[in-house]
Amino acid sequence: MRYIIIALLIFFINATSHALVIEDVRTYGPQKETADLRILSSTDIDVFDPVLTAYSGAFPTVSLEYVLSNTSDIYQEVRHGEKPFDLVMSSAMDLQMKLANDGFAKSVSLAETSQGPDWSQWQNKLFGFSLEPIGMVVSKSYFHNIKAPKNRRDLISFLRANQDDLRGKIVTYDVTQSGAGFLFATQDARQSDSYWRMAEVMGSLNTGLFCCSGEMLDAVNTGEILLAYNIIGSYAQKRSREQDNLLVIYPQDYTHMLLRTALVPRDTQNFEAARDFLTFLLNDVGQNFIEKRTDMLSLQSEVLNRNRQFKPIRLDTGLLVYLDRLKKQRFLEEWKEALFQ
Amino acid sequence: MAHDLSEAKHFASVTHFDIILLDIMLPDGDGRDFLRTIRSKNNNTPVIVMTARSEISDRIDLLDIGADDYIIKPFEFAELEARCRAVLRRHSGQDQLALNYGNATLYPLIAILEVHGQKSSLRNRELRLLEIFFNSPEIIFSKEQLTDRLFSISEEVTDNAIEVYVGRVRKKLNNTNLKIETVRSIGYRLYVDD
Amino acid sequence: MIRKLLAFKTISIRNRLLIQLGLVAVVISLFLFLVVRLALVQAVTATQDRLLAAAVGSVVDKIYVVDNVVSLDLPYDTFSLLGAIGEDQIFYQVKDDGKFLTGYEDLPYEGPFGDLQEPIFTNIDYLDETFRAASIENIIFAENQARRLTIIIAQSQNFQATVLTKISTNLIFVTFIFLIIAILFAFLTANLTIKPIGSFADDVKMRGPSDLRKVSSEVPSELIPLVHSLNGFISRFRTALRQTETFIAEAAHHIRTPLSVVKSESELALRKSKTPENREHLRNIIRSVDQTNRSATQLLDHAMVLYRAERPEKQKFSAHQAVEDLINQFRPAADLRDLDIAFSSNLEQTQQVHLDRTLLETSLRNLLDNALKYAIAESTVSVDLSQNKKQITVIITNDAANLKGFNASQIFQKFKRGPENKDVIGSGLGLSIVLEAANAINATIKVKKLKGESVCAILSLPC
Repeated sequence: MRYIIIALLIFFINATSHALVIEDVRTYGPQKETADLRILSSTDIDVFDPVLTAYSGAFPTVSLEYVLSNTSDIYQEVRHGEKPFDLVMSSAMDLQMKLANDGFAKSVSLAETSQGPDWSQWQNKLFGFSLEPIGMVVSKSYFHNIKAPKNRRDLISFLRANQDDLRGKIVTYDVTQSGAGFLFATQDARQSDSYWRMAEVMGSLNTGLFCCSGEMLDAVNTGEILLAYNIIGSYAQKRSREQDNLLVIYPQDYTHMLLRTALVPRDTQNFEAARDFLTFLLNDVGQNFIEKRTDMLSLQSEVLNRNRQFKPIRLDTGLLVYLDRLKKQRFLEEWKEALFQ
Repeated sequence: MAHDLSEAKHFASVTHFDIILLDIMLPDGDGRDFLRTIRSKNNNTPVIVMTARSEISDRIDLLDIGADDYIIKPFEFAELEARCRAVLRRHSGQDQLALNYGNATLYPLIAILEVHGQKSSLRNRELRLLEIFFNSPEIIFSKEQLTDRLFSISEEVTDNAIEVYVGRVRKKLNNTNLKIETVRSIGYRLYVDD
Repeated sequence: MIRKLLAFKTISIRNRLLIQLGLVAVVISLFLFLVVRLALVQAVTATQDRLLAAAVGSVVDKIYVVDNVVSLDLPYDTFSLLGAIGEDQIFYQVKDDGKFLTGYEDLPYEGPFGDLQEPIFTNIDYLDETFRAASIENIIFAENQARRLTIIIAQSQNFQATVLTKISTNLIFVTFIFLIIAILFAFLTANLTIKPIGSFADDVKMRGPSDLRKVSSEVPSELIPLVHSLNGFISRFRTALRQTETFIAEAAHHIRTPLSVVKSESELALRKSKTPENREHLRNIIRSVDQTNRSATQLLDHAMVLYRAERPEKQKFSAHQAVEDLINQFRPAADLRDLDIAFSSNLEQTQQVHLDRTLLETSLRNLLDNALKYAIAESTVSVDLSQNKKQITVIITNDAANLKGFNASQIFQKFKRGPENKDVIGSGLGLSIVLEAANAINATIKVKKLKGESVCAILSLPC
């Protein structure tokens, strides 16, 4: 735990990078002026720490630097940043896809043992390494005696029926701020006819818009908020173990599965190091580790097999569509109209 | 002697001959034609064909056409004589040629000397010697002449060969009234000893 | 080796055919491969183009005008599908009267643009890669104006490449199989084509040495000229042989007839002559004639044996009869010298042998002639004909005058004569003729000295 260095680094990096907001930094392995492997990621350090520790243990000579930021900034950094990172991990599949499509990712050929299932990779440039169900988190105490809505139709009915209770007590991602949030929302819009209805209902209830899962979970836990919509499952599970008031619900009509992806920026200086890490992350050892030792789900997760409820978001060029200038513009306009009433 | 085919045919048609010596290569044709012609006219005169070829096929041909024998040129007179004798012997049957002198009869064709009904057979040279004497009795024949007649030129002849044969013939004439006289330095002659 | 390759004239026809057919097969295979591959590329490109056209169509559907503002609601499924097939990258660009509307502004393409029914398909180089693009222009109305929208959708060709590679691999495999089959076929064809030549050659080879019939014309038309020349050659050869045969036969007549005349005239003269000198001259003449005749006979025999050794005329005849006939021929001459010929035989009259009769008789004639020539006066020459197991043997035995220096091995050499036989007329060819004749009929000849002063010649014939 080298939080001692954090402050210095934040200052240092902020001064040099292109408006990259660094939320957290952690280093592993031997101290070097420039780390052998610089990872830029949107996954919470605490969540990913077991993997990094394990890797460092296995390769003690490699110095790792793990930088935490948000998905939008990560996208900008890869596209416009000056000092390239060696590995970029993000939950924003669409932003990662655009980076890969537009030529900002390097092609990496991995050994057969590190080949994940077809749907988890794209063109040897994007590598999914973990799955994440997107669900709702509700206040356990509030729903103690009430049946919590199991699907979105129920949710809409419930929202409508309990307007007084829920006004100002709902929260979801601010899609203008959070890339992940934007992804969840657009995927909802694509997947379901009832999305805009729900958005309007939420809007009519003065739904709060937060930037991040952590804050939303805190709010539910304290009781400030009774329902948080589109929450990353692993965060919720982890928190619900620590905090009593959290109940995680995966809607039965569909629960999107987010694929966390990694890419190697084309300007990387440490290609070999990045490849080695990817190899580790994606082979049986790494995946097993993710599954058993972290709160994340690995690609082999049983959840996929369970029922048709869990739908992975497809890692394909369709993800580019909502990033289109006009389309995005239009979506945001409508979204704002719906949620700001 | 006929010189060509037409002459031969002419002669044959007019006279009977004891034997015909026929050359295959005649100036105006093949001797075989003559042979075929006379045989087709049922003329059975014995014919000895003279040919230069010694092939079997020719021999069979000739015999088929009707020749009785053939002789290959060039030949020894003695051989010709011998063949004539053989052919005539075969042909004549009962008609035996017989030479008589003194009380002996010589049958050249069968090589028999008969005296007083007793027949003694003669060897070839003995026969020929007697034949010479019987044909010209009391004529003196020199050793040379006799040698020439009895032996072919290619034969090795010892000095006393003639004497040996004369001696043998004398023995055969013991039962007869014939004698062969040795005429000193001249030759021999046959005469009747009375 | 190079020289061998360059000796075009001597390359076997089969190999020629093989090489030519093989080359043709290779060329055709290559051609086929290229043509099919070209067709493949066209098909694959056409497919991609169709897809792009459909994508463009679906995008055009989503163009709308609101408050005179042109906007575009990109269809998610279209983009999802376009990229899904083979993980291809997608780029697009929409311009409104030349003004960039959305997409990738720096996509390097200015036209020409097709229309919905017939988009224009081109290759665009972008970001160091080649992309296949469909571009159209579409007229819409906004603000009472006709606005010209250009839409370009470009897709990378990873999928195409993958498909092409896969099918090409299969294609190569198929082409290779085809090539192998074609070469095998070429091999078969070459062999089949050559076959008539081979059988023709075998036909001719199978013939016996005396088979001078014309060669059959049942051959492929290309070989007919060869057949004709061969037949021409055979005719000329046959004629030449016949001429040789005729010559040998004629020679006999042309030599012997004049000799005969000389001999007969000389003998007559000898009988009539009184002068010892003249008689001596005449004797000399006759001796010379005899010598000449003997030599001529032997030379002719020799020629005949050589001639027949090449092409024996086998015929079936009775061995007993043949030997007997021969002996009968010699009897008169033998008789003249008081030589007896004793004939014994254990063969049946009907027992036949199958060989060249002339050669056999030539051997026997020469042996018998020899025996009679060297026999002691008034002795018996015996001829024994016997058969046991696989052999017929003729043994001619005679008492010889002088056997000093008798050498069984030398005796067969040409012109070699026994040392004590200088006085006897002969040319020394006789026994060598017998040897050659015997060889020609696969018989063996041996001459042995027997106990006492006698010699025997043993001729063994195979049955």
